Amino acid sequence: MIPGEFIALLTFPGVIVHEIAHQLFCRICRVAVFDVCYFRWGNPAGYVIHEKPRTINQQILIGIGPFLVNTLFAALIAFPAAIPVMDFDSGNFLDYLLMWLGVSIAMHAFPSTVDANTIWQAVKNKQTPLLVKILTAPLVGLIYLGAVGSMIWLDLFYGVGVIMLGPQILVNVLAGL
Amino acid sequence: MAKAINENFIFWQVKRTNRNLLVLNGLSLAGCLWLVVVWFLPLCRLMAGGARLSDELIAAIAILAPMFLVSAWNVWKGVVRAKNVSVHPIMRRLAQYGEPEKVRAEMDSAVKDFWILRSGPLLVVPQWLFYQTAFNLNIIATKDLMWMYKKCSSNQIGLIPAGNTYEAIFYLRSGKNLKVAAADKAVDQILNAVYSIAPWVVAGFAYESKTMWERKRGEFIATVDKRREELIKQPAMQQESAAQEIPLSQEEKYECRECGKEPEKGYEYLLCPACRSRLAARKLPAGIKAAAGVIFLLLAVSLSGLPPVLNAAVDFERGRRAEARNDYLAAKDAYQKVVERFGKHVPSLSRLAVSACYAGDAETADKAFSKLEGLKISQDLARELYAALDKLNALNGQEQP
Repeated sequence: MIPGEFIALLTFPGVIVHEIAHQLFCRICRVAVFDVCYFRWGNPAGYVIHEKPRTINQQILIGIGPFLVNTLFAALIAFPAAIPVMDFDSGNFLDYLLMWLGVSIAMHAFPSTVDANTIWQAVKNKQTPLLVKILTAPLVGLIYLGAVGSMIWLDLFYGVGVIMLGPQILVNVLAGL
Repeated sequence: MAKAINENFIFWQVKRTNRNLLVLNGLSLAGCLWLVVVWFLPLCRLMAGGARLSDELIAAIAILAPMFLVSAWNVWKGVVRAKNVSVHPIMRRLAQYGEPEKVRAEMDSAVKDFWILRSGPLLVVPQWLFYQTAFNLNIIATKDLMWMYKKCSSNQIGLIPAGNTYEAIFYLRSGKNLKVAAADKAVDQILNAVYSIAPWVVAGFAYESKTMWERKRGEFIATVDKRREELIKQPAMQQESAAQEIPLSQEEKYECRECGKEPEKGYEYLLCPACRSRLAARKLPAGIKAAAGVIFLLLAVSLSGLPPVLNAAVDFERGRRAEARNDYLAAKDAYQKVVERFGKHVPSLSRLAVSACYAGDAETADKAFSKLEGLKISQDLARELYAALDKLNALNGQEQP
């Protein structure tokens, strides 16, 4: 098994974007941030320490923020490089660099188990509306699945999937016009 | 560290760090020479024989030259320091505390007779902390210690807990910090030992202390210095009780923890609206902003070349769809556009050849087949191409090749 620190080092842009995403949602929700570590050699590879959000929805949003930001950002970065590399085997150095960035960022889209725990505590809270509980509980399950799945490289498959899916959908849509 | 407890502690550290520097860089230099013999020289010989290996040669030079220069520079430094220990960084560092020889003698004496705690690479003696690494010895005067606390990190691999790691963190007058990793109890022992010789140091973690250290460091240092002066003035018996009285955390008051103004309601952590907005809008470090700028620039460059590539991908997909509904004429036209952009793309060339054959366009098929010559294709694809060629020959009433 490859230690998580090495994988984090190889995919460090993803860790940085993950923490920036937490920070971004703290900013949107006006939640005070006390400390941020964008990357370090250790476990966890990065962290954001913030105050307890005022509402459950804010807590959930801050928790799942990286899932949204990392996925969209990875798809955007890898988009122009994915077609020449994957469809026509004609990528140049820049294309491969963007592909690495895209996969690295998408690999860290899954919130950590610490994030999942925070979201789960929020879901379990008695004050949380039933609708939010129903919508969020499966998400927490998925996050845990992602954490367990990282042992069988599920995060890597997700990363590759994200960068392939966007261009493929667009090409299929445009081909039908 | 056991060997370090001797009469010549500082000289021993100078020798140890210099020896490590020489051994590591000597090995690196030897490795460099070995690579020159087994890699660089054969490349030069091959190039002299007319082989085109300029890329390999550039790669060899790019790897070997910095490696050689850095190793040689470090070996030279090691040799100079071995001849004259006064130029060693450890000896030069002593100068900031006074006459180097006198300071060295004081340190040696303290280490020999008065050491308080040894824990891994850390040695605590009255007035000094020594922390050794492979190539360095960090020397910290206790008067430069400002803040210390214990840090516990919980580790996980996936969902499996992988234990905790503990560190004693020391913040220094210079703004730097020293992290000493050790076992749980050892970290407690270290902090207690340091507190026993420097009771003025702020002990324990609090966000208030962190905020003050980051934003009002001068004030933080002045407060610690004042506490130190007060403690030094007091008789020994009073010092201990005074140290106990130093508040490590303030009593909770209903006020903003940053500025003391009226806090915002509805939050557990007490902050006024202005301080909360400021902390929420924490700025990104300049390095990350610069890196993001570079990434967006690369992205823009890559996006500028996207339209023709995207058109080719769309044409390829359209060709596949046309082929699926047996509209070989449309498929041929679509694949032809792809081949104009990616002339050596085997799937596009082969689909163009097949579509042209079924569409009865011998000229296009001939061009596609000639471009496929010399390219690697699978056996299944070869069979499909031969079948298409048969179909074309049949359509044109020719004999099979």
